[in-house]
Amino acid sequence: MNESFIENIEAYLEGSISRETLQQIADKEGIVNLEEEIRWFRDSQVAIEAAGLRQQIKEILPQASKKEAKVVRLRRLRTVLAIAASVLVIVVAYLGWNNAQSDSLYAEYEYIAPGPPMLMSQSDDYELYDALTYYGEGNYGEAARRLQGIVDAYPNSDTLAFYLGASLLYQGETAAARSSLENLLRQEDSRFQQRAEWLLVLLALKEKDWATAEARLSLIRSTPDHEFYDSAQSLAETLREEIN
Amino acid sequence: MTEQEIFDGIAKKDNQTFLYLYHKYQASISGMVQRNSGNEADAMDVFQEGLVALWTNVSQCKFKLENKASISTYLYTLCRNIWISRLRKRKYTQPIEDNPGVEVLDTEEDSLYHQRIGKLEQTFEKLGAASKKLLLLFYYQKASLKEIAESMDLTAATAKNTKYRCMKKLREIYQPENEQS
Repeated sequence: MNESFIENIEAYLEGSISRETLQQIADKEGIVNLEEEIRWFRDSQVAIEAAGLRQQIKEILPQASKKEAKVVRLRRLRTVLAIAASVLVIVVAYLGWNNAQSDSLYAEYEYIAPGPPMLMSQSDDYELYDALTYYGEGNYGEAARRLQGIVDAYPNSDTLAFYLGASLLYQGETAAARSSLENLLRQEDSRFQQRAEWLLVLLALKEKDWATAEARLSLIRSTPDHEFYDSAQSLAETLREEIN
Repeated sequence: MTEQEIFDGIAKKDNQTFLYLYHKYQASISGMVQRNSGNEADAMDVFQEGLVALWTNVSQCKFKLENKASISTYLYTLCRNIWISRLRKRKYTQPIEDNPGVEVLDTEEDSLYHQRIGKLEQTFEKLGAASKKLLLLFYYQKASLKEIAESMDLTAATAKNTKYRCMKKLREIYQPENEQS
């Protein structure tokens, strides 16, 4: 069976062509078991959709399950004193764990964006080139300082916004980094958009803002072709298991 | 939610609808599984499988609202049959104990259909990552070939040809064991 006949079967399944038309095409092609061919394609499509749906359901249901389990556990605690003592221990342990967990998660998922692929020395934007040279050398403090100095000269540059945000993040200046990266996300069709979205996840981890991290992850996870899709899936799973 | 809203939500693969079904019916299905040699993890797994089967039947018009059964009864029966099938694989032979007051439908024909879809799904999982991604984008996400081409850094013609080759590969490696329907 050739590619064009498969398209005809798909057109039939979508209702674009009639059964009679498909039968005529099949007769011309010498296909004798048309029913079986239709069944195969219909069931294959259902199976592929089912595979996608299974993943979708897995992502939403276990969360609900965990929340309910917590409620049940709390109800079973017998005395107020026991609750208070437990909570105190948990809070103290959590605070210590929270810091360590945040740092280790950040380290595990950290992404150092490579410098710009173009030969900036050939560009007229020598100030930008100069600043990005520091970035490329890993001198994020100097890169951030120089990039901040030319922001006004390049108000619509997504390159500048991205590398400024990245430099500030790597320096631990999260508030300023957020501002620059969010500014970039407001620009349409930026080639840095997906990387900026991931850096904002890392930023939320650095700030121990789990809710924001999860919200940003969920946006990435809704885009299967996102360049950080796999990392987002894995990190979301870790957050669900260890933090919620 | 009304039956019609639930039905429409399932057809659209709406997360809120699936969560609604979970909160409303998971306990009853979990009880059925756990009364019959299953544990909590089995129950969750069966419930998820039941939702996929329910969507399959809704999307393929095998379950319609004008049928006598309610969606909850139908979901319960699908999950029950899934669990019976798994118990059989575990060589468990005792009759299954049902939830009193829950009507059970005969969906034996459905079971055979779901076995075929399940087998095809397992075969799909054996494809390479790029093939799976492309087919999911096209059939599950309903992305156009142009969108797929852009997201996978291909030309539209290559995306189209690759989709054809992926489907061909799926067919080559699919082995219908004892298929009855």
